[in-house]
Amino acid sequence: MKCGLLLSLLLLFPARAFCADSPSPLYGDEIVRDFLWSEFQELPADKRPKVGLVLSGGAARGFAHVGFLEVLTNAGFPIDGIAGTSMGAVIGALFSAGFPMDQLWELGRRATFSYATKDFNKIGVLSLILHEKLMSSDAMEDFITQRIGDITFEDLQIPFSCVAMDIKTGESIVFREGPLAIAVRSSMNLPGIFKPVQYRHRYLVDGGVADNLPVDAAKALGMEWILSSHTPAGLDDASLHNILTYLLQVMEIRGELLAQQSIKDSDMVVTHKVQHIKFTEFEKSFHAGELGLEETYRRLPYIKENLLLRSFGALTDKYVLP
Amino acid sequence: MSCLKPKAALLCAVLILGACPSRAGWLFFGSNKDPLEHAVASYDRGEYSAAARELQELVNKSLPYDHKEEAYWYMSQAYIKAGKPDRALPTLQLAVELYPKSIRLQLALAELYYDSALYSQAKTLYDALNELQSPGDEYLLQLNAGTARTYAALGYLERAAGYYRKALDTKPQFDAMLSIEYISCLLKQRKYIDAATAVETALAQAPENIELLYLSAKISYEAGRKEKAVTTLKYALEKAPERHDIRLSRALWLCSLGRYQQAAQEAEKVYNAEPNQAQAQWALALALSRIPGSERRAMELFRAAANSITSPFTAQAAERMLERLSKRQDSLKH
Repeated sequence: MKCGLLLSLLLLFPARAFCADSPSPLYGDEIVRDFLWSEFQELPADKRPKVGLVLSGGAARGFAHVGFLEVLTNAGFPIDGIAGTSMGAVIGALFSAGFPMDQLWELGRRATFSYATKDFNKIGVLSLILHEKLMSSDAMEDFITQRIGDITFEDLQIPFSCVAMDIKTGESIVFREGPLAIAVRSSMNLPGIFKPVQYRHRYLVDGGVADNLPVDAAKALGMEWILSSHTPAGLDDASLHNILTYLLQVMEIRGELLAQQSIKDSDMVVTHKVQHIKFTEFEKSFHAGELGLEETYRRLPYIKENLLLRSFGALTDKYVLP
Repeated sequence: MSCLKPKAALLCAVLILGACPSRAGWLFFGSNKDPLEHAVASYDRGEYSAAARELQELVNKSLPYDHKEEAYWYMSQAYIKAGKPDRALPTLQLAVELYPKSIRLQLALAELYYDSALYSQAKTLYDALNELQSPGDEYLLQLNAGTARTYAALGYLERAAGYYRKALDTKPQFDAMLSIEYISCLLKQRKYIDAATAVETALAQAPENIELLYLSAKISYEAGRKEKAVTTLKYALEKAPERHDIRLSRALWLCSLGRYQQAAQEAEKVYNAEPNQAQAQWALALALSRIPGSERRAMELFRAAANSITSPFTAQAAERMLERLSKRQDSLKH
């Protein structure tokens, strides 16, 4: 009877049930990826591809680049160069100068680009029609110098370039040297609203109408692996009710068409879900930054994998017999 | 006169029923009887489906206001424990709309959002709860821990670390899981000194906790103390020899240190237990690649790993290694 009971118990309950061992947790690609990522971070800079970041224009939406940069910094990405247009130039310049991340977030929290909202608020349809004079974007230059000083491109911690357009010739002008503040101001100088910046023999306006995602500028800096941060406009739900909004819509459309061209030349792109934030909704800057962080974090494993596969030769040299 | 009393009573009852149906229910059921008693007893006995059904019937009737809030809470928890989060979710969403000031319900919904990987929705709720002046001491731990986890899941590592610290400060006893999550957060930010301090403190409380040992090893490895890392994992594997993930990490780290024979031995153990696992194939192949005479076997293993459907990155990495080894073989022939 007792033997029968014991036998039936053994049949009912597999032997493993009596083991104290717990099953190994599930694991997958992350073991190999994390290992190779550690190996990658030990690679000397001359053995790996030069990593370039490209930050698009987008005004208030462009604040997503702050979240993008935070995720990459946390993950230990080497950043060998940055190229930016418009708001991408502002964020890129501050980051390249070593402006602290928490202070970058604070800019968005306070929507400190209120100079822009203040000026836009002053613009009425009547002002645009009646006034011949456009406004000056001097405030942007002051904004930059107040935060990082009156420095040059050569003073930056990370090589940086930004793009503007010469309104008289239509040429894309890439800044890589000289005074930083005027270059950034030129890159974020909306045509038709602000006066062109006269610098040397050029009449400069926002780079977003010439090169909204300046991948070529990053390559010209010597970057070999390009990660782009794209802040697309929500063209469908634009509210078009005066000359200003039509003007902005035209610039958004142009910027988006240019960005789509540049995306093809990037190794990886993070497209932030910021289409619902309008060009001038600077009070939503902080929210744009959060969306940028979330999307970049979600894509981070794939970004790492792409870079690792690109660097595979150098990464695994030591694992192949001579 | 005496015939007026029943009529007066009936009139009172009708008036109460009309003015306040829920209170009328309480009045008729008796002030001492908890209408949820039976359902809660079912819940406490683990009869979750029955409890949920009963509570659903009760909320459809005229329950007093406070009891209904509690009923929704128990109903949602019963659904969750019965393995029906898809029913718990609309229950809690409705409950939060009906009782917008109920912190308990909001916390329950936020947790369910988190468990359902709806991290953005969880964040919205936690952010709103954190804006409250005084959510109540009894909810602080739950709120801080839930906020920390949600922020960590979305990538807000700095903010998550802050909330983990608050949660750990709130909790009087040592909580290994919370500590592990906090230390993982620090590690992801590459704050090795803070992470090492935190893991040392945690290990002092739970010296044989395998996850803590694994974390400690990872911190050492990433901070450049590779020898210490492999030694820590050796100790962890003595306690938990079935942990294939830890053994594979050790194998790979031994490769990095150039100790290929030892690496192959470790990886072989996992491979023997899980011969179709792409990471086991890859790690063993990597070690064998540097052992003279073992390249052919390494190539076979890389070929197998390259066919993995469930591990696309490992498959690509295997294909690349296979190409490299093949090229080397070809160059040796010529």
